[in-house]
Amino acid sequence: MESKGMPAIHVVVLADELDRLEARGFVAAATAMAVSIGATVDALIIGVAPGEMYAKDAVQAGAGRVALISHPALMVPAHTDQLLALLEDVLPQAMTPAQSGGHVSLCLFHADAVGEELAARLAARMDGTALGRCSNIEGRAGGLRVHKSVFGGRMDVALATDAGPCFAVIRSIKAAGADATDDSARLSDEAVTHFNLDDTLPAIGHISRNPSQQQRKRLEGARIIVSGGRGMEGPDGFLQLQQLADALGAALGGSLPAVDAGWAPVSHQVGQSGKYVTPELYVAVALSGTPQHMAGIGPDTDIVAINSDEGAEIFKGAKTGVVADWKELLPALIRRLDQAA
Amino acid sequence: MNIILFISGIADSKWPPPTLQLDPQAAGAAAAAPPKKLSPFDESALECALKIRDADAQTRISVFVVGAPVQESLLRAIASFRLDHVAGLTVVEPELWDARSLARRFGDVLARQTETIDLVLIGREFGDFDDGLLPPYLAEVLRLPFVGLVQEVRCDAGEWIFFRERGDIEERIRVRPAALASITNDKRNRLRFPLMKNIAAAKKAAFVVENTGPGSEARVRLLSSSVRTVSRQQDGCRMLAGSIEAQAEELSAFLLSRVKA
Repeated sequence: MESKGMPAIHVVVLADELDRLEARGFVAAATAMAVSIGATVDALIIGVAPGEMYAKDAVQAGAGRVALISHPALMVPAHTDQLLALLEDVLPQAMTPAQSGGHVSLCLFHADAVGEELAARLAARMDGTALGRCSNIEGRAGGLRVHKSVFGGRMDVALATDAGPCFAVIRSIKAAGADATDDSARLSDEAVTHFNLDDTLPAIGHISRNPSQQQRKRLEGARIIVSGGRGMEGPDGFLQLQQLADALGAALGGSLPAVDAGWAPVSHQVGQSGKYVTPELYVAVALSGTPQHMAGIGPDTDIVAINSDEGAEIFKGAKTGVVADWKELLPALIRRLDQAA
Repeated sequence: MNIILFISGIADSKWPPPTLQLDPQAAGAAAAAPPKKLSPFDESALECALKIRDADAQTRISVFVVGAPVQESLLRAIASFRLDHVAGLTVVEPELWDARSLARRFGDVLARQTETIDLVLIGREFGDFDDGLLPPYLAEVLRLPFVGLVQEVRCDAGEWIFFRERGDIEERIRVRPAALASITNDKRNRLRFPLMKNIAAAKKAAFVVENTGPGSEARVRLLSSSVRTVSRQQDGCRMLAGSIEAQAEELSAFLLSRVKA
């Protein structure tokens, strides 16, 4: 993707990992940062067969140009060694100082485990700078200023770098008009370039995959999440939380101590070290509300807190609160919700 | 098998976060650092290594405790698991912001090891400043295969088998040594308690703390820092009062209204 005029931020969208809403919000977040840097957005949409609607979404979220890259041998969920091989063919040419118009070049991935690994490994392979999970990125004279959280979400810092190419991960935002993408709109040939690849992809070792014994509703994209903490006291408590989640059509999450204890799987951990979630409603049961946990909940989410300790920190972040023992409240609550169904 | 771990620890959250040094040359800030403890991911990585040793007593475990500065209490806590080698590695604070600088420093340390390295384990996040960059970056510096967010490791017929969950998929990845894995928290790798006799031995142990001076120049520097104090809910929390039944009634009505919205 040849650059003309303004420098371009490269945004890598993994279409098999993100649903359309997440992908659109990701490109929108990148576009907002690009504006402050004085750059445009080039989106690289990669997948087994990413639909053109992903390209339309990206353009409507602010991407100036889109490369739609398909490869039938890509594994789902993503295998990072395969993606690295694809990206290594594209990014080094696109992120040279000449292509960046003398600015520090920047490539963004979605803030999840795959994005974080790809950003770090590409930075290493291209002798670049890995910036990690950033809440904002701005332009500054000769480089970038990045904002991020440290100490488990207890402190915010601003960092500076002038050494590119830079690689960072960012979270999706709720894109303006996110529910109203016009699928019938035509894309100009200049805006979208198609790459249908079929070359051999690498793999490390031998991978075998099996469906997990428990199929769970994903946290990503869930409107409502019911989540439990250490105070649930054991797996039986989480069975009741699952009943509550089922009654609300919600996904089930857990804090780090709950995952440590084996009551919830690590893929459903919410917090600084787990998933960052942005549901409309987050029902926090027997969760103390540590900064590490709260850092994983979007600022626009309404929190309902249920805790027997009226002094629990969670109530400071909650919109609605109930001081009660969950062992007494949940059965009564689930009974009412079931009756109303 | 020869296993190497890098462990940083995290600031104990019972204490306020430390003052960060804007000027790397400034003295004194380190003395104000709060005590460190093992992070959940450090603990998981350590337990994974111990389980491998449980299955094969010939396994050697070496741990490098990294800090700016290294805290002796952390060295002793780790040594209480009767490991083959525990040493400190002092870095300077700017390196902690830059995965490239830190990974190169660790690469230099490993290059000096005289024994073959079969496995490098690190918690999925390294200390208070890293959000998952260091392990994959280090794997690239060392040119080792990388497996991230591993929950269990076993050795089978001279090869490593890594287990992890990805959404609704369980993965089993078989890799020939050497490899690098980042370890995440899981009930299978909750750190055991050390034996009292080993705690007593660790209290008397002497440790080598390597201080090789500045590593490669950090490309990322700190501009400012601020402790997060603002509550996310400015309007206060609406508390539901009354008996359990009354609370359940009001809450169910509220939740149903949000489900249908």
